[in-house]
Order: sequence, then structure tokens, then C-alpha cells
Amino acid sequence: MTKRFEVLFCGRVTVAHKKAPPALIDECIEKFSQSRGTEGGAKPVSSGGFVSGLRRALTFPLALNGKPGDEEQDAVREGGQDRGREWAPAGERPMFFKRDPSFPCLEALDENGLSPELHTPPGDPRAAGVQPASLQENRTMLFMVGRSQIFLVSPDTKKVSIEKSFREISFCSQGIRHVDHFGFICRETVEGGSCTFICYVFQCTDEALVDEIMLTLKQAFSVAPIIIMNKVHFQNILFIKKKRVYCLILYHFFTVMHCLPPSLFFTLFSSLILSHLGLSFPVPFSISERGDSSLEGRVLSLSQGGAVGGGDRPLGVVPEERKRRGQADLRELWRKAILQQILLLRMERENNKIQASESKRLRLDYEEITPCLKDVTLVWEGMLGTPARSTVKFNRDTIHTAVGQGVPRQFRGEVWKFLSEQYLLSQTVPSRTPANNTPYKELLKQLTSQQHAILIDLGRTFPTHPYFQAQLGAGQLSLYNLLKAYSLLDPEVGYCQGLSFIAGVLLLHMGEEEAFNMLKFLMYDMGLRKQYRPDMIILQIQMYQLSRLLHDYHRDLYVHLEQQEIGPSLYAAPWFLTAFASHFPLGFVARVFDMLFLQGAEVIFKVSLSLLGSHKPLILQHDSLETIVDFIKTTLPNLGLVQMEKTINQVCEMDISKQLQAYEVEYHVLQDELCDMPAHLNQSQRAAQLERTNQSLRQQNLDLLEELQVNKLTCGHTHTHTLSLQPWVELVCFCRFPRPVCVAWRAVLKASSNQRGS
Amino acid sequence: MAYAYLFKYIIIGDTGVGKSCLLLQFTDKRFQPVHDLTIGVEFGARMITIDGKQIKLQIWDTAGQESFRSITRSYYRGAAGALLVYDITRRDTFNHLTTWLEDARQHSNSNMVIMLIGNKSDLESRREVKKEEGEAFAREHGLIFMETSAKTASNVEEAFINTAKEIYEKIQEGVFDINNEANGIKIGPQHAATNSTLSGSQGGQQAGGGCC
Repeated sequence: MTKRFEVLFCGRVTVAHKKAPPALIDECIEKFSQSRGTEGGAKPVSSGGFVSGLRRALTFPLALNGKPGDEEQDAVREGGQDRGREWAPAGERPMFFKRDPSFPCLEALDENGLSPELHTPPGDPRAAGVQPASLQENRTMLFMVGRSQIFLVSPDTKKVSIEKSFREISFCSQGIRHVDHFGFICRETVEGGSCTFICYVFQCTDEALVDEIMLTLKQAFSVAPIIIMNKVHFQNILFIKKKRVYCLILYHFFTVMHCLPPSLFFTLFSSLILSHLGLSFPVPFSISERGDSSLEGRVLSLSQGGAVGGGDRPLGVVPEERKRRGQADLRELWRKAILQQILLLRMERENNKIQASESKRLRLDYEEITPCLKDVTLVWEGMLGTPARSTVKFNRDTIHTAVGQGVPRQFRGEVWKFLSEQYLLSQTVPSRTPANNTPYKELLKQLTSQQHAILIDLGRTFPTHPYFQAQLGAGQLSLYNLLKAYSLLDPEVGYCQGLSFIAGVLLLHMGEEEAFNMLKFLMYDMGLRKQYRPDMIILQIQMYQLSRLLHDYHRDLYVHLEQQEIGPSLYAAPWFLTAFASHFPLGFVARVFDMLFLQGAEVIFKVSLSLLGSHKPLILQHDSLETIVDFIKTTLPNLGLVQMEKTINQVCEMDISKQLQAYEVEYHVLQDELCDMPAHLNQSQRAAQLERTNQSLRQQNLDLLEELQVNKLTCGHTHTHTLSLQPWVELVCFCRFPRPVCVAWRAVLKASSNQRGS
Repeated sequence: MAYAYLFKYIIIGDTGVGKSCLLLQFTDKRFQPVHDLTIGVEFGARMITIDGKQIKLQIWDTAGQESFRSITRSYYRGAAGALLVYDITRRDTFNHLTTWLEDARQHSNSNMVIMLIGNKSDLESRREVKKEEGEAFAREHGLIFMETSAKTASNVEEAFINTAKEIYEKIQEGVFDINNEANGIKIGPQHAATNSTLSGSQGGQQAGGGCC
């Protein structure tokens, strides 16, 4: 269990000493904004003064130093004095990699564990001292403090960006004026084996998070073993499958065999194997001094092609060997290097393809409950393959029938998109879209204030599903991205527990960005959003509605549960907040989602009612609170395939929209009567209470408008329905004044109860 | 199963402090490092013995996220004991104790016994809240205090049982009105037989105040 925090990488600066005054962070930030130009830089968020006494700056004793003692106390050091100790080069792996400045790097991670975006850009070495991170790139990272290392993982590239052991880090500080920033100095080995000190600077959402990071670091450093031998590698993040790479090497080996001269082929093969095993082999890297511009051009474009070779296979270069070789040899070797690069790139591509298909197989590995027959699959294929699909309106009944007959698993993501397109086409009134229109990729570049809540839930969302199982593996990082983007899009809801399951189901069926669009659709257009609002009033109304429905449809069950004081909030809250995804088999959940995309949030009521109804005899057999709750929570979700299919078929035929409307009004009336004003209140208290009531009614008014719109569309545009909505329209008009509304509501209630009675 | 008393507990505290793990360790004697998120309210029960009497603990485990409070609040009312949990490796969970306590006091009956629990005591190396701080907070607010580890089971039994002892003592002292079920105490069928003022069937049929 490592602690994780979301941070924004600001840049890095070469510094002269391993330690520095805490003002260094501020200086770095200023330098970044200077080198970016005045407008792009990070602005100081704190207007407060120079509260140096409160800020923490930690300096750490280095590897050779005995114990972490007095130095790491909260102390503000002035003047950046060096403590006189030297870095110990002992135990460090010598660096063979010689980088030509004109060369972009050839790998995702170098010996220092740095990804390409963090590298020294070619050019003037003096200017390279200050390297602000590019503002166009996604600079957000997950900062993790382990037992003896820190890691920075990019959720965007899903790779480790920086990995430093504690003993490489000599200084850590929070900004003094920029209190939401922090940074650390670490030792880095550069060309020729000499050490430099680099200060990395990061930004957090707020000061409190920086405080927490500093506290965690202080704690971690004070207990970390002094000499750390075992490096923890984050295999999951890189998800490199070694066996597969070997297979691919052999595969490509045989495919290129025909087109290569035997001698070259042999050296190529052996060097590939050697390089994969981490052994060094000669590769000339100074092509530019020979002026072979055509080759250079090719190589440059190749190496820009992407992360070649993965992070754990550094290419070692032995410079001495180069001297002994002649021009021809060099040319020959260079050719070889190019071929290797081509090969590696191809392997990488193949590997990605295989990984993608494997990941898809992994994600869709659930039992389908309505196996889709061939002719239904053909119907789906036909609809999904229609040219300019998103503009063609299909017959609603055809779609309904098709969904009822089943959705093929492999097309499910596409079908959901199709259903959402069809819904939007059928709308005459534009839907209530989020105020924030920032595209997904841009949202991902920002920091979210919900980072902690999201990070803590990643491991608790589908914890046993292979795709989400791995700690910060591809699945969890995608989930993080999706939830983070949503929390930024919709600050009112932000992140609410339960959402991670909805997002997770979407991610199993489609890519991140599509899943984000579908999440937006479900929340804003299908009406899921309101139940996640911070007051959760809507969820409580839904619980009331469910209990009333239970009263209508299964009176004996209702009475039985009431006797044991089991309200729906005890078992049905996760059903609503996760659309059954937290407890039920995925095949069933997928079908619920099919219906959800077709009919909207009402489906959850229907499924709940149908499930409770079909299990009524079994529930009635239990007669204590514990056994009933245990049955509903653990036995009921493991219902058999036949039962699941029956449930879904029932849901297709149910119509409960009128009851739901009536019970919502009923809830409000009951609430209103509960808090009806006692007579003894004085004038000002009455006024205050009226004010509060008024405010809550205004909110309800907005909700009703929203509801009205949704209902109008989902129930079709028949005349009778418009008529039935008439009282609602009037209600909405009345809602500005508390008193008449009550009267109006009571009338509606009476009318609806009369209807029920008849 | 026959019991002399039934005590209702509620477990509260920030998200991720280990509430569900504490409950699981107490009821099932196991630790599950990966488990589903608690959405809304979960529930567990176990029998214990105090002073030779069988006592059933009925424990309500709540979601920690702020927005769920409006849902979980309704479970305070019928609780005789509350376990207020923080995580000793996360200071912010300790800092939030005051709001939790205010919330609990406001919505529960005044006699509710509150046990403060500093969980994850096995993670000594990552400790951010000293034991003394927990003790001081408990003293200041009149709570019982304990550090536990749901992972190693250290002090978990004790935390639940000591709370029950406290409630039991209060019953003996006559502080709790055991005839009022809103206090979170129910007299079991075994006991009710000897207690002529209560009819055993009455307890079961009393319906709650509805869902609103």
C-alpha cells in the first residue's frame, strides 16, 4: 500500500547543490514562467505573506550518513549551504549510454527513469538548466511514496515517468509563496558519469495536499532503511509481457530471414537477443559527425515514432570499440542499427495490437445472459454499419425489439453509442448539457480536488475483475482518468461513490474517451446525475418511490420487510448508485445497461421491483432482519441465468412512469407536512422558515423542469401523455410561492390516489 | 438465537479508514485487503457474552463519503453504541473527528456510547497521528479510546466488547431506558420472559418511522 497523490509536473531545474533554501521552489517557478514567457507561467495562488516559519523544508541525510536525524526537522535553511558531504558513487551502476545532443532519445525511459518529455532538450546547455514542462502536454502525474522509493506515474501514457530511490533524494520543500507547490532535489548521473543535482517541481490542487505530501515524505524518509538494495519495479504499469516479446522476436526473426544476408542476419539476431537480455552491444550513435544526412533523417523519423523497446532494455554502448572500427564497419553497423530499429518498431506495433486484443478479450470475459442469435446479430450489424449513422433515425420499435432479443457482447459498446445517438435524434428540445464544454483530453491535463476520494476507490471498484485488479494497472489508470475528467466537468457532483462502477462498466466496453461521452450521456441525458448530488435528496426520494411501488405490487413482501424495519435504503442504495454493477454478475449488469441506454434511469426501479418480486417467496421464508438482509445482499445477486433473463424480459414490458411521478409528489407533500410550521413561531422565525422552504421549492422546481423534459421525450409524444403532464406544468408555474403549491400538490395527490383507488 | 439483550452499533468515520474491515474482522475473524466499496449501509451481527449474559451486537457499517451522511444519519437514531474510526496513517481523518462527533451527537440519543478507534495500528512506520493525540481527543470529548488493526485483529474484539460493556453498565445503572427501542437496545426473548412488563412479541412488530 503506497500513498498516492495527484500532482502536476511543472518542470525541472539543474541546481548547484544537493540542498537548498526553501525559497528555491519559488525561484524555480519564477524561472519556469520567465522561460515560458510572462503569460503562460503558473501564478502564485497564495496572496499571503512570507510565512516562512510554517513551511516545511526537509533535507535528508544521504546514503553514507548514519541515521536520519536532526536535519530533517522542520527547518528553513537560508543560503543553501552544502553540508560538506559528497555523494558516494559507490553502488551506482555506471552509465554507458552516450547521448548525442542532436538525437532524440530512443526509449521510453532512460537509466535515470526519465521519460522523454523530461529530458534535456537539445541546444544551449546553459538554457537547459531550466526546463519548464510543456503546457500543451498532459503533465499530471500520480505521485507515489513507497517504502524506499518515490514514483511518478503518468495516467496519460500509463507509464512510470520518474522513479527515484530515497537515497537519491537530498532535499524536499514546499513553496513559500507558492504554497500549492513542492519540489525535491535529486542526484542524477549525466554523461561521463558525473553527478548533477536536479530540482523537480510539482503543483497540487491546494496547500493541504502539499502539507500531506510533505508529512508523508517526512515520515517515509525517517523510517526508510538507509541502504536499499531491492528495487521495486512496477511491472503492472509497464505491463510488458516478456514471453510475448520473445515470441515476437522469433516471429520477426523468421520473417526477415529471407531478405537479409546471412552474416548480417546472424549479428542482428544475436544483438537483439543480447540487448533484450540487458547486455551491451556496439551501436554507433554519432552518425551526425559523418554527415550522412539521408540516414540521419530516417533515423530521426523512426525514433520519433514512439517509445521504442520499452523501458527495461537499455541499449549499452561501449565507446572504445567504436574507435577501432573503420568507416565501412561503421556504415555496416549503422545499417544494422536501423534494421533493428525497424524491427523493434514493428514488434512494438505487433505487441500493442496483441495487447489491445487481449485486453478486449479480458474486459469482455463475462457470461452473456441473452445469447444473441445470428439473425439478431445481423440486424445489429446492419444498424451499426449504416453510413452516417448518427444522423439516421431508426424505427423505435425495431430498436426496442432488437435490444429485447439481445445485444452481441462484442458490439455492446457500439450499440450503447448507437442508442445514445438515437435518443439524441428523437429529442425535440435540446438536452441539458453540462455548462463546462472542455474536451476530455483537456480535462485530463487539470488537477482535481477529488483526487484522494477517487484514488482510494480505484482498488475497491471491481476488485476481483482481471482488468481492474492490478494496482495502478491500465484498467485502474483509465478509471482514474475517466472519474477525474467527470469530476472536473461537473463540480457539483464531483466524485460520488458508486460512479466508479458505472464508469468501470463503460470502460469494459469502449475506450476512455468514448466511455467519458457515454458517462456524460447517462448522467445528463438519461437522468442518473441527480441521484449523486451532494444532498442525496433525490436518492432518498427514489427509496421512497421504491417502497411505494413495493407496496403497490407486492403488498405482502412490503409488510414483511416493514415488520423487520428493512427500508430500501438498506439494500437498494447500491442498486441505484451503481446500476447493479457493484453486486451482480457482469452479464446481468450489461443487460441492465442495455435497458438503461434505451429507457433511462427508470429501468433501475423496474429491475429492482422485478428482482424483489421474483424472489418474494424466498424472502418471505426468512423472518429475521439479518437473514433477510443477507439474502437480499448476497444470495439474490447470484441469481441464475434463467432468472436473469426473465427479469430483463419483465423489465422490457413494465411501465411505471405514472406511479413514479405521483410518488415523487407524495414524498414532497409528506415532507412539507412534516415540517409544517408550528404556531408558536415568531414573525422572523416564520420568515426564515418560509425563506428556506421557498429555496428548496425553487430547487425542486428546477428538478421538475428537468424531469418534465425527460419524461416528455422518453414516453413519446402522444396527446394523452401531454394531457397527463398538464398538472405538472401548472405545478411548475406555481412553485415560486410555497403556499399555493402545497394546495396544488394536495389536489394532485388526491387526484392520483383516486386514480389508484379506482 | 436466544439473547438477553440486543445492542445496535453504528460504525462511522472518513472513507478508507477501515470501517468495513473492522466489521469483517469482528464478525468473520478475517481480513480482506481488497473488498467492494460500501455504498450506503452494510450490516453485520455477532453474539458476545458479558457478565454471563448473551448479548447480540447488530452493527451498521456506513459509507464514509460526505454526501452519504444524509442517508446514514437515519441510522444514528436507533444506535446504542458508535465506533468512530480514524486512520492513524492519515492525519486528515483525525482532523475530521470533530465534525463526525458533532453529527453523531446531534442525531443520536444522548446516552449513546462512543468509542474512538485509531485503526491501522499495524502500519507503525507510516503513523501520522500519535497514540497520545487520540487519547487526548477521547479524554476531551468523553469517549473511550483504542488503537486497533483490522489486519492483525489486534484490539478488534476488545473495541467492540468494551463498548458493549460500557452500554451494559449504563443499563445496570439505569441510565438507558431499555423499554424505548429508539435507544438501540432490545430485550431478547430469553430475558423478556422474566420481565413481566414487556411482552416479547411487541419488540418485533414495532415498525419504524417510515423512509422519509
